[in-house]
Amino acid sequence: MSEFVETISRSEDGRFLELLIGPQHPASGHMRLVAEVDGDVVVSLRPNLGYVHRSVEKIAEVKKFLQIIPLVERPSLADTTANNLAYVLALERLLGVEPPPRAQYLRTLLAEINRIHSHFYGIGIHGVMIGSSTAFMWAFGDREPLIHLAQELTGARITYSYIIPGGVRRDMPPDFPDKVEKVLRYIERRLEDYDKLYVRNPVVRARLEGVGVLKKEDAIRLGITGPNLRASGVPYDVRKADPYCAYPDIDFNVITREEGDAMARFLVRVGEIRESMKIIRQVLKKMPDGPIFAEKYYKMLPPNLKKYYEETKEVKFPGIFANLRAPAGESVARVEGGRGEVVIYIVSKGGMNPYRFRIVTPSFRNAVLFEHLVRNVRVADIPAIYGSLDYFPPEADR
Amino acid sequence: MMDLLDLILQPWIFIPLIFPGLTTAFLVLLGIIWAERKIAAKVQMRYGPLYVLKPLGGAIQMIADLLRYLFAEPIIPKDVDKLTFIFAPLILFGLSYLPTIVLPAGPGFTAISSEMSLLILLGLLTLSPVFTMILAWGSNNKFSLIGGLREGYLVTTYEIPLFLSALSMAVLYGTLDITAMVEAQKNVWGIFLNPLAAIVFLVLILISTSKFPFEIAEAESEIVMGPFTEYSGIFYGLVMGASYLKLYVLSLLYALIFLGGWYPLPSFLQNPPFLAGIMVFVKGLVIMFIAIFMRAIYPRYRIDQAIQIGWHKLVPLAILSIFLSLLVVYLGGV
Amino acid sequence: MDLEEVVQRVKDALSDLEVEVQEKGPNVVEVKVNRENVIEAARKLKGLGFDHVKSVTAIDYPNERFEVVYHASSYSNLELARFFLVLRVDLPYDDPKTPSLLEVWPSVLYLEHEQYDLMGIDFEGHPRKERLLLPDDYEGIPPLRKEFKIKTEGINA
Repeated sequence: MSEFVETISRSEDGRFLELLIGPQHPASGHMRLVAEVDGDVVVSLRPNLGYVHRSVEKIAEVKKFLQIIPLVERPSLADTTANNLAYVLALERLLGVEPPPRAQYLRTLLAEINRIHSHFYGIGIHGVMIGSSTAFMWAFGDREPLIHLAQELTGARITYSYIIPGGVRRDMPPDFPDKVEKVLRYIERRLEDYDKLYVRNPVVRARLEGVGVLKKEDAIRLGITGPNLRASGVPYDVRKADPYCAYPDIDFNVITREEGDAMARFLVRVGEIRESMKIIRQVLKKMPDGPIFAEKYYKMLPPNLKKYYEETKEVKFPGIFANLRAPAGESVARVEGGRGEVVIYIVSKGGMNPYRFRIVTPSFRNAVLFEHLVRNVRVADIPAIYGSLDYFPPEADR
Repeated sequence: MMDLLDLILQPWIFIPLIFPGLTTAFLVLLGIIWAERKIAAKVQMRYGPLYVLKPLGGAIQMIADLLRYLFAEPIIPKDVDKLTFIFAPLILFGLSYLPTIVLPAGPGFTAISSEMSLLILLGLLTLSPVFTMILAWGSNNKFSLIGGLREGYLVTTYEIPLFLSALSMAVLYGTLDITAMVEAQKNVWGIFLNPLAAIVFLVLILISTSKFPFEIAEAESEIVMGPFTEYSGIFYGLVMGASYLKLYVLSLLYALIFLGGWYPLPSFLQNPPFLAGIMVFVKGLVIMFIAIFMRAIYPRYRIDQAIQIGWHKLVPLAILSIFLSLLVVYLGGV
Repeated sequence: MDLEEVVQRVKDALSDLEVEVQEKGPNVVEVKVNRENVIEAARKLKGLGFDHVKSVTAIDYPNERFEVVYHASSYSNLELARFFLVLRVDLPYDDPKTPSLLEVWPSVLYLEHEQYDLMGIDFEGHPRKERLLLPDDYEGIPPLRKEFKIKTEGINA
C-alpha cells in the first residue's frame, strides 16, 4: 500500500523537472500525465484522468434499457462490441432470456472481428508512439477491411449496437463467409509484412524489449486485465475462464508470454489476431441455422414486423420494447474485449431504468500501470510503455 | 545582358547564389520535403501530397506550405527571451546554408579555394547546433529545454566520429582540399577504398540531421517538437528547413569525398563544369533519398541508445577507418 | 470446482466472522459483512485465492443506507476464476465511511478512488482524497448520488 501513498516526491533542491504531458500533447491522448523527471530519467508519473468523463453510469440511470446499448458503446470506440455484449449479457441474465444458437455464433463472429481491428488500432498507436509512422498507417489501413466486414454484417462501422436482448439485430448476408475468408487471407499476408518490417526491426526491439516489465505477481495484485495481463504470464481469458456465447464450442489458445515487457504485450496482441482469425473460421464453419432472435420476444412482435423479420432477417423492435421492464434484482456479466475484461453490473428495482449501473472498463483497471511501470525509466520510454498498454482514455473515463 | 550572365557565372557568385548555394538549396528544400512525404506515403499505402498540382502528384505542395508558413502569424509567446527567440532561427538557417560556399561545383570551380576547405566546411557545420540549443533555452519551455539538451548530447556524440571519418578520407587522399580529394578519386571512388568510413559517415549524417532512426531531439511523441515546440509561422519554417539544409550540405560532401564527385565524367566534359555540377548534385540526391527513406522503415532510438551507438560503435569504427586509410596508403595509395 | 464447493469454502473461511454467505446465480457467491469486519473478511477471502477486485460499486438508497459492493475473483487459480465473489458492505446513510481494502487488494486503488469521487464514500485509509474523474475544483453533491438530478432533454423515445 505504501507504494501508492506519495508518488510525486518533489525534490527540495529543484533538481526535478515536472513535465505536464497532455492533454494538449501529440501523444498523450485525452489525459494528462504528470511526470517528474531527473534529467532524462522519470522519477515518478501520475496519470490525471477524467478529461473525457461523460458519466455513462449516471446517464444510464435515466435511460431505458434499450437506450443503454448505444450509450455503453460510446466510451470504447474501436472496441464497442465488448461493451455491447457485456451489457446485453448482464441484461439477459436479469430478464431470463436465452438467445438462440445462431445468434450466439453471430455475436462471437462480431466480437472477434472487433477484437482484430481493436488490436490493429492498438498496434498502430503503439507504433507511432515509438516513431514508426509506417506501423501506424499500416495498422490503420489494415483495420479497414475488418471494419468493412463489420459494416457488412451490422450496417455500421464502429458503433454497431448489433447485439440486442434476445439475439442480434441482423442475420449475416449470404456471401459473407467468402468475404471473410478473403479478408482473413489478406490479413495473414499482411502479418508477414509486419513481421519483416516491424517485429524483427532492430530499432523496435531495442525500444521495446525489457522496457516496462510487469511482473506476474504485480499483474495479479494490481488486477491488470487483457493482453497486458497475459503478457505477464497469467493465462486468464474470460473466454476460457467463464465462457459465454459460442466460445465453449470453439477451439482456441490463450496467448501468453512470460517476459511482461512492452514487446511481450505487443506480441500477445499479434498472437491474438491470429487466434481470432482461427475462431472466425471455426464460427463460420459451425454456424447453426435457425432464428437469430429469442422466441419469447419474437412472439411479441406485431404481424407486420414479423413479416419484415421473415423477409429480411432484420429485427425491428416495436415501440413497446422501449418500455422494457427488468425484474428487480441484480446481475453481473464480464466479457473479454480487445483491451481486456469488461465488467457490467446492473442493479434493478423493477423499473424501466436500471437503479444502479456499473461499467468497469479494461482501460480503467489498467490505468494504475502508468504509475507502476513508468518509474525509473527514460523519458522516451513513456510513450513506448503508454502505447504498449493499449490504453484508451475515453474508455477509462467513461 | 551578357555581362550579367558572365558575372553570375563567376564562381564566387555562382556558388553561393546558384549551385550549390541559395537557389539550388531552396529548390532542394522544397523538393526533398515533398519527396520525403511522397516516399513515406508510398510505403504506407497512402497518396501523400496530391491535390496541389494533381498531374504532377502534388509536386508544388511545398510551395503551398511555404506560403502558409510565410503568411501564418508567427506567435511569439509572452515569456520567451525575445532576442534569442527571433534571431536564433535566422542565424541557425544562415549557418546551415553557409557551408555550401566551400563546396566545389566542378573541377576548379570554387568560390573559396583553400587547401583547408574540408576543415572549413566541418568547422562551419559545428556552428549551427549551438543555435539550436540557444533557441531551445530561449523558448522557455520544458519540452524545448529537453529537446535542446538532447541536441547537445547528440552533438557530442556525432561530431567526433564525423570528423574522424571525414579526416580518414583526408589521410587516404593526402589532402584537405575537397577539390583535390575528388581528383584523387579519378580511378577508384573513396567508398570502395574505405567502406568503413563511408558507412560511419552515412550513419552520422542521419544522426546529425536528426533523421530516423535518430530523430531524437524533435521526437514528437515524447517532447512535442523538441527545441522547436514554441515556433510557428515562418520561424518554424526556418528551423525546420535548417536540418534539411544540413542534410543537403552533408549529402553533397558525401558525394564529393566518397562517391567520386564529378567522376566518372570524362575530362573533356568537365569543362565548362555544368555537367560536373549535375553529377555531384545527382549523387547528393541519392544520399538524401537514402536518409529520408529511413523514416518509412525505422522508429526512433532512445537518446541513451543513440549515444551508446555513437560512443561504443561509431567512434571505434571511425578510428579504425583512419587505420584502414593508413593501410591503403601503405599498400600503394590512390 | 462447483458453486457449492466454493460457497462451502467461503463459509468455512469466514466462520468466525459475522457474515452472510449465499449463492446468487450460477457463478456468483455473495458475502454480506458489516464494515467492522470487512478487512478481516477480505484478508481471509484473499487467502482462499480471490486475489483481485474487478469492480467496486457504491449504491445509494436515499435516506436509508449506502452499499459498497466489491466484485472479486481470481487470476492465480483458474478454477476459481469462473466465480465472482461479491462482498457487500452496508453503510448508514449519514455516515458513509468504510475501511479501505487497499492493503488487502491493491487492485482497488482506482476503483475505490472513483467511488470516493463520484459517490462520496469515504474509504478510510485510502491515500488519495483528491478528485479523480471530476474536475479538481468540483464542489457539491457527488454526482452518482440519487439526489443529484440530471436534466434530460425531454426526448424519451
